[in-house]
Amino acid sequence: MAADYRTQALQDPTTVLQELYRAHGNAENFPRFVAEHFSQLFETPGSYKRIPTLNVSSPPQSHQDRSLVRFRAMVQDTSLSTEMYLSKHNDGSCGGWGIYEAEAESSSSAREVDYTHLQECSVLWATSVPAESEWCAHELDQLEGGMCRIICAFVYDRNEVETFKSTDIVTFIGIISTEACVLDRTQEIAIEVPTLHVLFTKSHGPGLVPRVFPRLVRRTEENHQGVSIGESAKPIAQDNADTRRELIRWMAEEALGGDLRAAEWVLFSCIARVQSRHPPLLPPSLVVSRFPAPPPVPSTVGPSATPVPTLSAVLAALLPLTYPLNLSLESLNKTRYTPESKDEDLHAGVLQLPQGTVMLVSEGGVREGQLLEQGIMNVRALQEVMDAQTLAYVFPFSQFSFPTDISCIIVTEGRKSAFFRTDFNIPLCAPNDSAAVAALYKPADQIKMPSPEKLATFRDLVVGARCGKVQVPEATSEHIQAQFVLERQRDRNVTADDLIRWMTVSKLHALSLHEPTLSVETWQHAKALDDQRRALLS
Amino acid sequence: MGMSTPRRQQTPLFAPGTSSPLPFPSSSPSKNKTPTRARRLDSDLPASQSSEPLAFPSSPAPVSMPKNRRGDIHSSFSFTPTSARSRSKRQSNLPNDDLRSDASHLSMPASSALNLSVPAVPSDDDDDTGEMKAIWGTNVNIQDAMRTFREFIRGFKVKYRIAYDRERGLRTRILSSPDEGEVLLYEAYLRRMRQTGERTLNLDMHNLAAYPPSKKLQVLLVKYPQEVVPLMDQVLKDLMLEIAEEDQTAGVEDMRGHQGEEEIAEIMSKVYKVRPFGVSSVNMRDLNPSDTDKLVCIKGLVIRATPVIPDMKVAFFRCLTCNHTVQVEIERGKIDEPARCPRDVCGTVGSMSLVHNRCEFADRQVIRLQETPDAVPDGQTPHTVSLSVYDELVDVSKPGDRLVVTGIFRSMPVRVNPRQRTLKSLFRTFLDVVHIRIGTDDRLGLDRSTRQAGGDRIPGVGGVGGGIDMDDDEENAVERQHRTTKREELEAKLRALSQRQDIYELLARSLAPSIYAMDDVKKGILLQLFGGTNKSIARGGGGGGPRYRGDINVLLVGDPGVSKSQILQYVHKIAPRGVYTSGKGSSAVGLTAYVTRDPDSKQLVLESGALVLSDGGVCCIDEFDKMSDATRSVLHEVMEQQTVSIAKAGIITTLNARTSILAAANPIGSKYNPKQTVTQNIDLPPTLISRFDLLYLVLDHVDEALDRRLAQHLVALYLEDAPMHGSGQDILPLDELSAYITYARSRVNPTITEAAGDELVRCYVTMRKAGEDPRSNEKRITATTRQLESMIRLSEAHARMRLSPFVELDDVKEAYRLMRDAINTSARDPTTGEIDMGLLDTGIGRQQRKLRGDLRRAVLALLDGAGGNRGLRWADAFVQLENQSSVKITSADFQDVIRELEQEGLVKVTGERDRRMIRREGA
Repeated sequence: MAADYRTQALQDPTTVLQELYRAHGNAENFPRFVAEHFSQLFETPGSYKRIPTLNVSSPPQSHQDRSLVRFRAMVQDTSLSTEMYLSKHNDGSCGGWGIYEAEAESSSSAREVDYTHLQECSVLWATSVPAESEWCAHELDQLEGGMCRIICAFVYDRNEVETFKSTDIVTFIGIISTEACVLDRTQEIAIEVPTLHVLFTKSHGPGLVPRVFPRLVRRTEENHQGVSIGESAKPIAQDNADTRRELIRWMAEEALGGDLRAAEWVLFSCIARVQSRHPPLLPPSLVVSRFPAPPPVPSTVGPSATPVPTLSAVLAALLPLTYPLNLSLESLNKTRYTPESKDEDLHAGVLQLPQGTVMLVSEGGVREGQLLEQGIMNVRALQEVMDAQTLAYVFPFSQFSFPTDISCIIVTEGRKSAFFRTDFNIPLCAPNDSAAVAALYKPADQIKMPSPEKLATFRDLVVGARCGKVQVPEATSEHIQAQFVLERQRDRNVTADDLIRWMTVSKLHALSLHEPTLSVETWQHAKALDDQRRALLS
Repeated sequence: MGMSTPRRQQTPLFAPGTSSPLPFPSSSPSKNKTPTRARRLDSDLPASQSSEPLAFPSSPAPVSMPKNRRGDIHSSFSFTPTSARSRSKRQSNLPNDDLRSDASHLSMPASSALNLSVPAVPSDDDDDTGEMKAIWGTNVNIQDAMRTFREFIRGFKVKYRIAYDRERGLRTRILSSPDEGEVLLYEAYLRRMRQTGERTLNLDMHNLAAYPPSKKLQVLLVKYPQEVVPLMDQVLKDLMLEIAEEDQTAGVEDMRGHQGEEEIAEIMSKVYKVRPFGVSSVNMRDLNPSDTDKLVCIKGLVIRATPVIPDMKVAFFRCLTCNHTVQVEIERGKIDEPARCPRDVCGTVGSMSLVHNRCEFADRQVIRLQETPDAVPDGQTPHTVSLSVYDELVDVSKPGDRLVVTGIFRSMPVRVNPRQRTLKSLFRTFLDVVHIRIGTDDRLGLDRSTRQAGGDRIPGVGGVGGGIDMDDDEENAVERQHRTTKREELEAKLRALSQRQDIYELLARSLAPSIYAMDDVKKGILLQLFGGTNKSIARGGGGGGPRYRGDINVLLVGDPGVSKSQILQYVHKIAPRGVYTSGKGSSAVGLTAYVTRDPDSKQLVLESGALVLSDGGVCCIDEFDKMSDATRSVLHEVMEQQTVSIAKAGIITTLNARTSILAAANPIGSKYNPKQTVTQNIDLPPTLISRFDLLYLVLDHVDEALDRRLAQHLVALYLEDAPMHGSGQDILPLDELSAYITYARSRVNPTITEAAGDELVRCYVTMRKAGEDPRSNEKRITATTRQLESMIRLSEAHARMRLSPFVELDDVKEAYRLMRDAINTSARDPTTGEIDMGLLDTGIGRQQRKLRGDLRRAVLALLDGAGGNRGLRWADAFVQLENQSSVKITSADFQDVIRELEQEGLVKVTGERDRRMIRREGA
């Protein structure tokens, strides 16, 4: 019975909705009731997975009109005004969710509107999650993910809407259809856009795919889902350190020409995130300098197709959200990095990425030329993201700064980034012959992937560290203070910035070891690491 | 079109064909004339109103009585001031009224659109007796409402409002005499309207609530504005006439005899409008269907406005065959063209043609109003609503203005795709605006003094609050009523705060609390935020003579990593109209204004950049030194003339940029070289540097105690769950600080007292002397009149900060201290010819000062011990002291102490460099 009902809900959600309205239409908050009803109906993972997904491989057109779909999306724009809809038609049937009265042609103008039945629903633009890596999409969907697709979502349960913020990742489950959307409110031209009439939503935690911190050891026989207390012979700390070492080695060998030190810093960048805004504990930006420029491509491919560093594929294998940004003068001058509202339509910007994205910016494609105004603005926007983790959305007469959480890794050929000020700079120490350079840019399918179990452990380490917290015991705190004062007496050039940097590194170091408290040894080690890095620079 | 309002379909009064929403009792004189016609026509020709078949509308009317069509109200309600009816009605109620002019009303042109038919659609609610008490679907009793409003206008006195405000716990105005409270406010307004020819009465709804008999009317007005407002319009016109007649009878000046007749005739020909306001404002996100057709008030920022749209209100059709004319009113944004001639005799199909110049049009403009940044919830993008403004409100506001708008919330079904089978009835929501107020946003309020007087006038008579003429915003009631009790509390709190002894320190401390130390810099910036008063010399040639800026400009120069950018960011957040920009990334375009072509209108428009946008606010420019020369040259003009001139695409114009500039610059080579002068250290032309009132050098020093505290501070901040958090001192939260500054800026304009004036002169002279340095021939900053002006501004700002109406001696002293310190840190030291780093130290850290004291005693002891006249060699003394001391003595410290002693006349230094000798003097 329940299974049948569920099947019906899958196939013909409209009828189910109408029946529900007939039975419970006088519920105090019917939209809320609907949301609860449907989310209960599809509570079990099995039934939830049966809902077809909407993504690039199955775009809105491929779904039957008014069928039930789920759509994991990033909220792009919440500035649309709410829509009014008739919650109850004249014949007493259910309104909303794209259900309109069938109407005879003749009585076109003399329709009566009962204004007391007007209800509001929120409208927002959602896109399929940019920067989402394949394995993450797979884990959530059992399906392939892909590029952006924009859709208009009508959310009827208004309690939830207030919590949706730009760049939030939310799964909308609802009825797919099309609605006319008036983009320009001072004009009357309406265009039909794919629309999702949302029945209920599921929000995702900050990590998108949850992992535990501190890490627990996976049993080898268990697959992705099962995580249990480790019973292996090795103590967990040792295991963490070993896994970390293996991970760094793998990253170094596959993507960084064997430079372990650089790989370690890249790992730090991968696990960095915004921890607090007041005071600002932001992810440090990292530049991997001396990173060889991509080998020349055959002219037949065209100048725009500069190869992407293999690092991006390695990051995609480890992180749920990663976005490769290939800089070139052309893309800088032509694309828009910040979202901008034009004629009251918020045009998306490259940097409008979900919280927790790790961005790989490669400067390999930049040639000489003029950076136009748009380019300057774009560079500024990205710099602002690195410095303050805010992205200004441009509206007429005002700018709204939105918090971002994008950790940036820049690879550049020069001694420092051509465009950006970064917190950390690690020169790549790798062989410079053409074979080695080609290896840095080898296509993703040539990467030697570790065993699935190993890869899963790597992901546990990285993703888990991303959501971890590090406590600082009193003793370590004292030690840090004392050391700073000492350093400063020794070297006048040591400033507060150095202290902040050391603290950032040491915390990341502790996180990467899955240590929930910062020990003096880790601090020392981290500081030594930073000193080594600085020594390499000079 | 399409911005019109839906009619309430179920309301027979609004049904097609009925122009009059007010079904008057059957006693209505004209009722007998038309009922059958009206019924017949309605049945076959909805929405059309027939004129008398043969009477051409052009037939001359004895007195032309314009129809009262209001765009804002009209859309669902075409009310014609058929004063005949209402007056005759009123006659029965108020028989003592003088209704001399009624005859003229009764002889209305029959062809005009008013038909006084009974509701066309038969309604069960219709009382057959004709005693229609209330407007259908509402509980508005027409007679009651009209009578109440009448009584209100005739009876409202200022004292009622004062009592009402007092009840609500608001601060009230003190009346100079009891008589003042007895003034019949609205009668006075009406007389003024007659004298000035003004046709709009702005009605503060709080006054309605304040007047006991009309309390209920206020509630009705909020709930049923489209029913009540026309009634009010009607009463207003009646009363205009009545008062005019009374005045004529009483023989008031200008109203005698013929003149009076003319006046009355003129009043008769006019349309009068009541524009209510004073509903408490709501966030536009909170507007929901339950607000439909109610009076609401929202605030926002105009982002764009359409050009004036001629909005057809009544279409005029003429039958090509028989010349019969028909007027059709707009309905749901559409005009239904009559398919055939409604005249029975003619009845030709398709003969009706539109006569354009006989149609009636109204001005309409659609404005998009966006939420202001402060109203948007975190992480959300701002919402926007449409406003429809009509008639005289068109073009009152411009893009960029902040508005407080009172209007009727509408939701109208729109058929988005007529070709489709199912009508997807989406609803368009917008506001029909009845009243606009420009620019009252407490936090982001712009400096009033930067707007020219009378620039933003809203049409209409009738100020706000209880005063006769309180259009100035300083203490008026609108400000007060928009502020809830919470606001009131805040204001009281701010006042109380200003009484604190340590208010200056408290505010300075609250400014960027996460930044360690730098007290004087914070104080300087604090005063910048308060700003001096803008002065313009009223007399003098053209346009009121020169204007002296009150804005204080501050430049921070210093080593990297001393949180200059943080300070800027912070100021940007709290400053009114703060704009933050980085000199490096900003092209000249970003900082100034540029000309573009508007995509909609294809007209050239000026788009303003950061400086113009921050007109009346603070513009924070980071990396000032990295700015291109072109952009910087613009700043020259901005900082002294406070304008931006643009010559582009054939348009040469000067835009106001009355902005304070807070800039931060890094020294050349990123580290400040203490051996060089400021001008050598910063890559900025001295002309520009001198335009800054305050220039601070923010340098990095090594000091153990300081370092330890800094480390403690940082570790506490940057590592979670460490015990320390903040300095434990009380700090004003950001919004309170911001409120305080805005309050001071908008309310306090201190004037300089005599004592303060004398002190200013004295300080200036002192500073000028200190600047004299015959040895230097390099470009350098000396005290000029600019410094005097700066000092005046700083003193004013300091007085403002205390919320004091006068600039007093202490204000000047503090201003002088700040100036002197800023100059001391930035200008070269006259004795050594070097930037004296030591001077910076004073005021930093007690440790340092204590160390100095010890050193000083040690030096004197050393010199005394060394045996009087011969003195000691510089280096020897230093080494000896170093050996004595347990802590490290820096040469700078030593040098400072020696110089201090030298200045005090206790020691004398002779010789140069290594050969310097220190000798004890005096004693």
